[in-house]
Amino acid sequence: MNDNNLFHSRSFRILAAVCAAMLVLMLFTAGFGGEAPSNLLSFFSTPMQRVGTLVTNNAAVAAREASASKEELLDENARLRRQVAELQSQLVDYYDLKKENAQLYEYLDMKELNPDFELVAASVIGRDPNSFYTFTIDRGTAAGLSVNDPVVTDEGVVGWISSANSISAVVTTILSPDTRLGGSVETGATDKVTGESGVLSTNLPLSDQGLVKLGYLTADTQAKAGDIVVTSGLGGIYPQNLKVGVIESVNHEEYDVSLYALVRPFVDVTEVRDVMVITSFLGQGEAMTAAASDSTSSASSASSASPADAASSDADVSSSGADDSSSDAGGTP
Amino acid sequence: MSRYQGIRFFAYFLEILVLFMVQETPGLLPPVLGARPVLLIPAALSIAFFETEVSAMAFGVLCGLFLDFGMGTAFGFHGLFLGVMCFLLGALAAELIRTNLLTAMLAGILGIFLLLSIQWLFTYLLYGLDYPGYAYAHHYLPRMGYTLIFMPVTYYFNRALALFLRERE
Repeated sequence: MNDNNLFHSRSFRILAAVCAAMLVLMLFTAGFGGEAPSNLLSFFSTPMQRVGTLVTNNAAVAAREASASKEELLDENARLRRQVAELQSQLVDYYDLKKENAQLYEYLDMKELNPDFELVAASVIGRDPNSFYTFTIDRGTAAGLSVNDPVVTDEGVVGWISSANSISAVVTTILSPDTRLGGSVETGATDKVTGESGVLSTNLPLSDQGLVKLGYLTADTQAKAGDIVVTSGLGGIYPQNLKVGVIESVNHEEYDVSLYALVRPFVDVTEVRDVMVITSFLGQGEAMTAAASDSTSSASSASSASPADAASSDADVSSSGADDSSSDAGGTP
Repeated sequence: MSRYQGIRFFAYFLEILVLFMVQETPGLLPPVLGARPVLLIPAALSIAFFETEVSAMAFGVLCGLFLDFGMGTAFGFHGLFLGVMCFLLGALAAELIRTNLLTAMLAGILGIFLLLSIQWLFTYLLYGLDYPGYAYAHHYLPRMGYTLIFMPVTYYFNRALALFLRERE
């Protein structure tokens, strides 16, 4: 290969043009959101992902059943044969309907407990190998979802919508290590037993152990192992009193006098398959709006407040930044 | 563009779509040491061995855009780097290096290492996330290794595809 020829060739000019186009695309999507290209790729990939996930889920169920004892299998086999014979004539979309039914039961329970919630049921259709503790769901802006909507199951908090296109959305879970950084949200949380508040965060080593950290607890905290942690509603991202997890231990921070608790979430976000997105609830975004309009006074009061109060105001201020990223601001850069 | 070239390009497109679906579908490929493979990187590098540099770059960009879509990064980030890599590999394969499994594996080692290291640099280290060394050792290195395992698979698949369709051109 002659270097001079390569660098003066038509191919090289095409490469330079493509590089320039990629840079422009990067700047454009970083600045204005990438909904158009995201919609285009979703159009091709989402239907295939839905089918792939359905097949895999059914295979996983079959594999679980294969690990049962011989007698159980024989019984179950006989029962299933009868069931198949009965249902064969009406088996169109049976599994889809069954799944939807289960989702709607969960939806109904949650709706009865929280009449102000607007819920959208969704299924996990993708887990990207390059991302840490995020997943893709099969509902997007066309179903009423928007960035920063909380994602839950009947067991507790899962995460929040970090980016969305018209037919799918990316959920950043509470185990994601970028939960506290720019463009993302902080989760105010409360020890349900003692009523003490803190801020939920995590880092990669903790996430790998399936734990999150409830930080900014005061030095005389009464929080202890076994206490239930719920969302405090501060920050406006999550409604109040959603279950988060249970405290495993309380430890001293390395660099200051405050303490933190290690919390094991109730929901295993690495395995969850069906979720609900809360598209509307009382107080949604209120704290973020208040923090945005009152950021100066919040900052000055935080400097004289207790660590727990500081944590709360910290959550409010940073969440206002999250609110600014309205259309397609991902939790990842 | 000849008819068979069009068929070949369409086949590459389908291959990329299927591999994207496989790598994204939860539970389809079991995690090893907590890592899952990024199948589109070996696919793009393998295609580059059997195409001209411009075609190789085009499929590199396409794979990169799918990676951006899956990961949620700004569109063009992986497209840019994977496009350049595939362009260079396509040019080298046409003029300088022999196309065989050994060179494919060497290109795979280098390409996967470079792309995932760039990804770590820009989306983890410079993003200011905690424990970058831990992330690299416990997540990126296993992901590189797991991804490399698929290099022979994609190489032989694309080789068979290219030879089969070229015979008919």
